[in-house]
Amino acid sequence: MHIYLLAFLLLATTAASAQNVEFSKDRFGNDKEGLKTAQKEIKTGDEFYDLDPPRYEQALPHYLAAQKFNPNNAQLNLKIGDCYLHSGFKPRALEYLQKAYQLSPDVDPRIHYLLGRGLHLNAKWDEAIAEYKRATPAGGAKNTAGFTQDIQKKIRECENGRKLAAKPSRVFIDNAGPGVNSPYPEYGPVITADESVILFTSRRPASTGGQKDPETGGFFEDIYTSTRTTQGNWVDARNLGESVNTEGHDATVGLSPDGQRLLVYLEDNGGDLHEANLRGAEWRKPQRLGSRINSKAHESSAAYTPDGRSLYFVTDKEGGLGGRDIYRIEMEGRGPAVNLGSVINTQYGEEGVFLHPDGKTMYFSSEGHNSMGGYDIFKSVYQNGRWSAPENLGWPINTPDDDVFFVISASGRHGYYSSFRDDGLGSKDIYQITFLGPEKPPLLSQEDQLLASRVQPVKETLLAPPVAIASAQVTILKGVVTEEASKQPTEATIDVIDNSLNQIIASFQSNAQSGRYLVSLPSGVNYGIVVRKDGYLFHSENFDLPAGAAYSEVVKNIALKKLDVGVKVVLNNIFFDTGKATLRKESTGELERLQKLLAETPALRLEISGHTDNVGKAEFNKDLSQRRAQAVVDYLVTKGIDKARLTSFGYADTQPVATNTTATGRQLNRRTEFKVTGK
Amino acid sequence: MRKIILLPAALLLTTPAALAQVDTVRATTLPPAQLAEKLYNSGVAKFNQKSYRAALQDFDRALAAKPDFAKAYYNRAAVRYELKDFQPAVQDYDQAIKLDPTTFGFYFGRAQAREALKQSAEAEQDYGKAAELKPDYAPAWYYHGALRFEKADYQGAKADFDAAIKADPTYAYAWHDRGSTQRQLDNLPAAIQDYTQALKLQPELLPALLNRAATRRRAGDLKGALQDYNEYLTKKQDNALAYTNRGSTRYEQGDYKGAAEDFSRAVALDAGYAFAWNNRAAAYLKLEDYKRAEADATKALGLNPQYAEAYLNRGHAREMLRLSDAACQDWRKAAELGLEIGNAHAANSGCGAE
Repeated sequence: MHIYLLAFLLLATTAASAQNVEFSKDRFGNDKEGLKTAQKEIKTGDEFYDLDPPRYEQALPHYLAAQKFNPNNAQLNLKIGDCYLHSGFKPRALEYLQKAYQLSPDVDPRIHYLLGRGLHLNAKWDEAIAEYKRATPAGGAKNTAGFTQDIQKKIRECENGRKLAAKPSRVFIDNAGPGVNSPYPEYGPVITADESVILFTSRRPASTGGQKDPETGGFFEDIYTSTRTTQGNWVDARNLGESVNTEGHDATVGLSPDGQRLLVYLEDNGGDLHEANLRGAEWRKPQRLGSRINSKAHESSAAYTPDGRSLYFVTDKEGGLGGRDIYRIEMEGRGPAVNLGSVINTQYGEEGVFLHPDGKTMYFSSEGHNSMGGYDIFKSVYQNGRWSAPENLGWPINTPDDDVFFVISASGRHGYYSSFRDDGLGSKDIYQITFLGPEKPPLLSQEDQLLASRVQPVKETLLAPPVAIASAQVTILKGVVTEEASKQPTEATIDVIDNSLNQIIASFQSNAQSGRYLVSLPSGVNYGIVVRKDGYLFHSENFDLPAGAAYSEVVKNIALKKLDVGVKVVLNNIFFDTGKATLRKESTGELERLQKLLAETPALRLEISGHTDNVGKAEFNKDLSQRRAQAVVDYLVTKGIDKARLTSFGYADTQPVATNTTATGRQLNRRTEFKVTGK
Repeated sequence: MRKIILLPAALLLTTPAALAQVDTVRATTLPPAQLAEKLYNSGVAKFNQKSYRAALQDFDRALAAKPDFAKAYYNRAAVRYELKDFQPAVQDYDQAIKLDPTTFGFYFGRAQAREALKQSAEAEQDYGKAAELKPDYAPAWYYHGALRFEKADYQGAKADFDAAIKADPTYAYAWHDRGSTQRQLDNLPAAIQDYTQALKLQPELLPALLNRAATRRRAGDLKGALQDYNEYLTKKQDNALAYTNRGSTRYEQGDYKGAAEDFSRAVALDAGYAFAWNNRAAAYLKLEDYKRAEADATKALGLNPQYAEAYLNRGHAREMLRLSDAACQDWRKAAELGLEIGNAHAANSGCGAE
């Protein structure tokens, strides 16, 4: 008897909780004041909700206030769910939508679609598909083709999500911390190739002009910057200042690998791209990029190639493949921007393009391909003249919501993007993704007593499966350029030369104040690096990086020398055939620089010297070093330099600059150099 | 005789005595001058009573009386073997062979003593000679095969086990070990057949179950492997190796929880079994219980500081525990100990490129 009573009470309670409760005097006669306040909140919320376009984020707090008074109104739950679907915290929509449906299955004709969205955004793939199917208009219904297509796409997205989530990417996703993030929105992170500097967009109260955007109610965007400590934390960010930030929206778009050039988005002319340069410690005012890039359409994101000469950018101008597309353009050239084509661009939107410092790996976001919902981040590699099929970065980097504006360090170890997450400091925050690489299978040991007459078991060698090496194929060369005598940092030009083509492929400036420079050298080229400044002798370095050479970071501080008698300069880009004094063609650039130096300074006299390591016979080394020095002199003489200005000397191993006990040391000792003997 | 063939320890205990008994001569029929023979017989009796020291004295005296008494050398060698005086035993066999190079038993006995002295090459030679002199004596082939197996000459070992089986088709050990040889030669179905035959001939030969299980596992028949392990473990529950290997099979099946349970039973039986600790670390890694994985791998390394796999696994655990420097160290140590893949892991996780 008692059991039956209990069951009845339970049923009655459930029925009561599942009943729609109106905001009416009938129900809340005892709390007229509370009812009045709640109704007022709903009314205010409705004013935002009913705007065209609706202002969901502004409506939401009012609805939530009313919800506290009466949590069982189907319409209010639906509206809260709808607002959340259009907010940063979309997954929160689901509980309200489910409640709205539970309170009144007829609450809204869109309920199954909205439930589908809520479930989809919570990665409940199968349940979402079921709701989307229920929401599909009946066959033959009028004017529903677009809606049906949208539902079909979302069902495909759920199917993609189910597959991708079954094999998650191995990553740690960590909040970038309070140095960068605040309770206000932060997004659009861009980094230098070595991750030492970050710039990002924030809508925090200290924004330039201190005004709020009337459309969203939030502060206007400003650009901030921070630097990374050796412990890996970001120091407190500082506003980039009024030279870059205006009273309106100013948003980060892209940064050159050395952090000296910044791409900024401003809302003028339908949304255009601008470029700012760092001179010393100050950013110059951003300049609009030319009309070959900016149009009346919306140009929203961009990235430099590592040589800084080309730009990948996103625009929705006419003539694309649908939505926003990614284009490439040579910045100094005259040709038009080229659409990257259908391997990359889809009929849906593409956004947030980023080029890895290796120059061939592109990251971008797309609503197409095998997105699991909204924009997902993809990766494609340019090989043999074409882009590879975009690869979804997978769960949990990508989510059913929009995942856009992703950048990655040259090492490939860390990525940065922004996201709404529950562990955030409030609103959208910047997160650091640590890529753990392919799965590392554990290894088990096994042994068996293989011989019946022996007690000792035999260990079985189980070979570990091979693992893919995911190292980036780029070398980051960085350091500080100083003036040798004063030890002060100085601005100098850094030319990156392809020695095999004798062609300057990129030129950069070291920072005038800090002397810092950074160049990214994609593998597969014999690079000559020449640091030059008027009034100083040039400094040359060589990086021969075979194709496939793994990521490395080289710090090289360079002291530029004034032209004085006795000063020595190593010519790192002069190459000879092994064991011979025949100049290789890759030496041409360096020889031409030397020739130019002599031509520009008529009084200059040089001793060209050859040096070897201590391997081999002394006589041979002496002869070889002498012949090599003479080969350089001969070259210069054939190019018109008076031979009276040049002497040659073979020092063999008598003037080492490093130890001969290591391979690296011996390599440094094998060199050609010049000494100023008169000026 | 079956025990002699099947169990080497039993063979060593009883073979020389058995042969000596065969050669005992009735004292009443001896002519008065046969003192050496009397002492010899006394020695045999004392050997059978396990009075080895007394037996040794008798054989010494018999040999003093008759220095060309080959059987006395042979039996004294057997006594010395029992007393673990292996080198003097070999010397006695040498004498016996010198006096009579055609008796296969002398070579067989010396082979056993040389094995005890870990002189595998010499022992192999003697087993070979014994087999040559008496090709129908299956144990000579069998032990010859075992030594070849141990030096990874699996083709040679297989030929020996074939000959042993030909000489005695009921020789379960030979079937078993031929199975192991086939397994090493990657003839997995043939190995399974041989183990099955060994079990048919001698159902209590339980290692055959474990080995058949391991072979089935390698052949991809995880279900069959588990059946064998289960059968073994219903009969014998005190073998840490068996639990460890069943655990590994469960792991391979994706049953990481069941695997961890087996490894736990193994370490409960033998806390010094490093493999079980390491494997449990692997299971915990799969169960995403990284703290326990790290602790278990550390335990395995405490037992064996040169255990490359345990370093590798601990590296994985430490990476997930956000101890990246320590993880890098572990992977590099694993590579240093021969697991080259450790360097690949270190490269993939940006060790040194932070």
